Amino acid sequence: MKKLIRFICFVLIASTVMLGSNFYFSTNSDKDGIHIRGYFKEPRNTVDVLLIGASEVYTGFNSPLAWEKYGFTSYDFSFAAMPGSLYKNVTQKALKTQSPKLVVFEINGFLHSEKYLTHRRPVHAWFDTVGVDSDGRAYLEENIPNKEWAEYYLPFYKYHSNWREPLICSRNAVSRICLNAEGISYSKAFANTALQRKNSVIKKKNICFTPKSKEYMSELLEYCRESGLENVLFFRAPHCLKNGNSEASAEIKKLIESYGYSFVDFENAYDLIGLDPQNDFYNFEHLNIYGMEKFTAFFGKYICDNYDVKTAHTAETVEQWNKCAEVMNKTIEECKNDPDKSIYYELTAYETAKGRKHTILSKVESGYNKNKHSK
Amino acid sequence: MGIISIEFFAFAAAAILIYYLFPVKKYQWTILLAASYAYYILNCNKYVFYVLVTTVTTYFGARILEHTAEKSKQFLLQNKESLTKESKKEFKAKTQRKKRLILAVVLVFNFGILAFLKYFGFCADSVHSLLGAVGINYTEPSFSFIVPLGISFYTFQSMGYVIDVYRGKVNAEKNFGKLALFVSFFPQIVQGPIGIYSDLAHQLYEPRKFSYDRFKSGGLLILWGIFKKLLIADRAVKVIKLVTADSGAFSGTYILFTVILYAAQLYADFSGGIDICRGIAEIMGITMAENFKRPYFSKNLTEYWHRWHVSLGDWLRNYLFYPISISKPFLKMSKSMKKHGMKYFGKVFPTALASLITFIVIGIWHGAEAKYVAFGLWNGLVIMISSLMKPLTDKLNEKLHIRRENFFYSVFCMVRTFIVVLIGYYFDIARGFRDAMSMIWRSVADFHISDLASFVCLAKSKIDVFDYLIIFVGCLVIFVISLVQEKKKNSVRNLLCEKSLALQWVLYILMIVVIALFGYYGPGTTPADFVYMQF
Repeated sequence: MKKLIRFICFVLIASTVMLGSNFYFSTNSDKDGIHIRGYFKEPRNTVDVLLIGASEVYTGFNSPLAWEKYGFTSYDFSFAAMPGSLYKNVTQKALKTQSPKLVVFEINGFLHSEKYLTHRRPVHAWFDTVGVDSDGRAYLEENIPNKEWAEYYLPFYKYHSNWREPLICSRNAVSRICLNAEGISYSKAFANTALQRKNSVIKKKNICFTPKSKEYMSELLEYCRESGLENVLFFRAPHCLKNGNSEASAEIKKLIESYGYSFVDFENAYDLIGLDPQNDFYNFEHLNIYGMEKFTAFFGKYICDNYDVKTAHTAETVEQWNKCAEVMNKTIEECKNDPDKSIYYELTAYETAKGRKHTILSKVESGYNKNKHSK
Repeated sequence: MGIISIEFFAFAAAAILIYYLFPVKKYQWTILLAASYAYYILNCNKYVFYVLVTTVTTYFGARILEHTAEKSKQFLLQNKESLTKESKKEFKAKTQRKKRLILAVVLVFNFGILAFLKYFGFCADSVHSLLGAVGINYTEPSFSFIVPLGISFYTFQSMGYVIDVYRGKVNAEKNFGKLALFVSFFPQIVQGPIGIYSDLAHQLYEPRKFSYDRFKSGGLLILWGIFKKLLIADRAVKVIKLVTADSGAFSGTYILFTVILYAAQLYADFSGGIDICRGIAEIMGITMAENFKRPYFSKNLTEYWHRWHVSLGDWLRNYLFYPISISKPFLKMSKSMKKHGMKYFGKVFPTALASLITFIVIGIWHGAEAKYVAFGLWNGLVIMISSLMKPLTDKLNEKLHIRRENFFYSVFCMVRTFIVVLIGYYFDIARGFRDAMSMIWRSVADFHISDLASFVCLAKSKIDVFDYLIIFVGCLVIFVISLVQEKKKNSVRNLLCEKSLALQWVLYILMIVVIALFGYYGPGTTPADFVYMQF
């Protein structure tokens, strides 16, 4: 009996150590996990506008700033390179805890090759964070070869060699601890830099809308209709790219509108938004912190003008969102004044909220120093 | 279902659980039999037929041998008075001839299957080349054979049993099921160790109760095996494959580095696999023979072969080397040499020759290729020459005042033996005999220490500096543990049990975490088959 108890104790300790290792190592991104987890920390049914998409969303639109200016709550339920195949699954999961008045989709995830549509890194970033439920299982069955499934059910199997990436693992682990300790996301998924482009060149690029992309978008539209979502807006975020494939754009617009939803293209709407292609972007595809401020102001207004999204929130929610806006404003200031032009994100916002100094752990290299030295 | 797989460990765990929960302890062994056949069928499907054929021939061969011996004994007892000394002798000789014939039939049949499956391709190729050389057009038969899993190991094990019955060392097993279990016991069928009937069989059939101490000890052995396999063997195999696939593209420095890496990989792979199998057996209360006794600490090649793949060495010694060295021609040779004044040679040469023949057989067993024959010849010749030269080397040591027990001399001997072993490994990993010779030559003539500053040309293997570091640290751990075992002559597991519980737990958990984190597994890695599985 003594030996049995001893053995059970050993198994418990060993399991705890292994769970700890799993907690620390099982990630492929320093920011994506926290963007996703933050969403589920929002009190139930308090998000008025839900934004879904890839990195264009969390670099372009800032929810606390929109709250401050327009008084609606929102969340950038987005992560890097989110592929078209995942939009429906992400929406399914998102609608389990919130009933937004408006759901906004940035369409970048649909505009790539077929290979990109099930690109494993973002697919992993998603399922490693939310786990595989019945909808997730259906996704895996449809999109991922079954020999790879074990990685999704047991992420440590894939990530055990992540000791080569201590910084990413540490950022992810510390962010998770902070999020759990604070109980709320201050930035509502935000990651950006004050880095500016060296020129204002607009690159020409033909967007790609494959039959498979069309299938995924149709499934998403179908799901939105079946779920009874009345207000759904699809948009193309500003880019320093000039689309040469206008037929594809027209096809996307036609498809979305056939379901009774709207599509707006802001890809080159620099004048309308007031964007400067050189100073308001940090690369061809992403707005920088200056561009983000402008686009948030513009898009927030666009939403308010076209949809009735404002809700009377409880005093507690209002207080929380005011605090988020305050922290966000400070974080943005720090980001603008950072000589290294680092990427600021959720973890940086936590440090700002606590009045702590930013360290290598919280500031992500944007490539500015590397380019500066290479000159 | 590879040995390093979730499926295998789940299978083994289920087998162990059912084994201990089986209510009728007398028939507990039937669970092992069922598990062994299930394992074989899951892995090799219809090839289980070969195991069955070997089991049937072994069973009946041994029974007939015993029956013949018994009948002869009875006859002699019944006719003790009536038979003259000559007729008794004649009768015994007749019985012996009959037994030898039965034994020969069983051996030829079973080794024939092994040889046919292993060497058919080689023979067909040779015939094709020979006929081609004399201008005869000949189309090779298009069928090929798959060598069933572990055929060498179960054939050697069962034939060892038949020879032991022939020699009267053990009684023939009357229960067919029990013999079938001895032939097919699942933890060992893949790559040994080759069990001796008198040591193993009774353990398989004894009823057992679960023991926590055995579970702990076996579990640790399994962990140790996984450590060697996942941290070192599976990681190093990529570099070895890359270099040996096109050795001409690499400098001698990298070739030498690869062969040294192979020495670590082969040991980690083979001994790791055996440890896992022994660990599983130990949890079931079955102690299997130790197959490796820290071979790289050997001071000469003979000692190395007593420490490396011990069970195969023992088998060959008992069933091949001794029968050859005490055979009539060899005894005659010995006598004749002594008669002609070569007293020492008369004593040593026949034994050395028998040893050379044994090593050639080992070479051929590894594969029907010139490089493997060369591997056997190299080992056999080194042992033969060192035996014959022993008086000379003894005199030299005496003149140089070298004490054999001196530490530095011992280290020198170990390094010397390791180099001899390494040369043998060239034949093992090269694509052919010529390639091996070229690799050996270039390791000396094209060696530039500066090459080791960069491993860029090995980058294709996708093994980076961290991987090399893990291999190095892993080897260091094995070295330290082996050193402790050499000094204390006790298993590290037993030594650990003497330590405080807290220290034990810390070390066990550390081992689990190290394997989990630094093991070479997961997406993008292909688990390497155990090297000896193919035999």
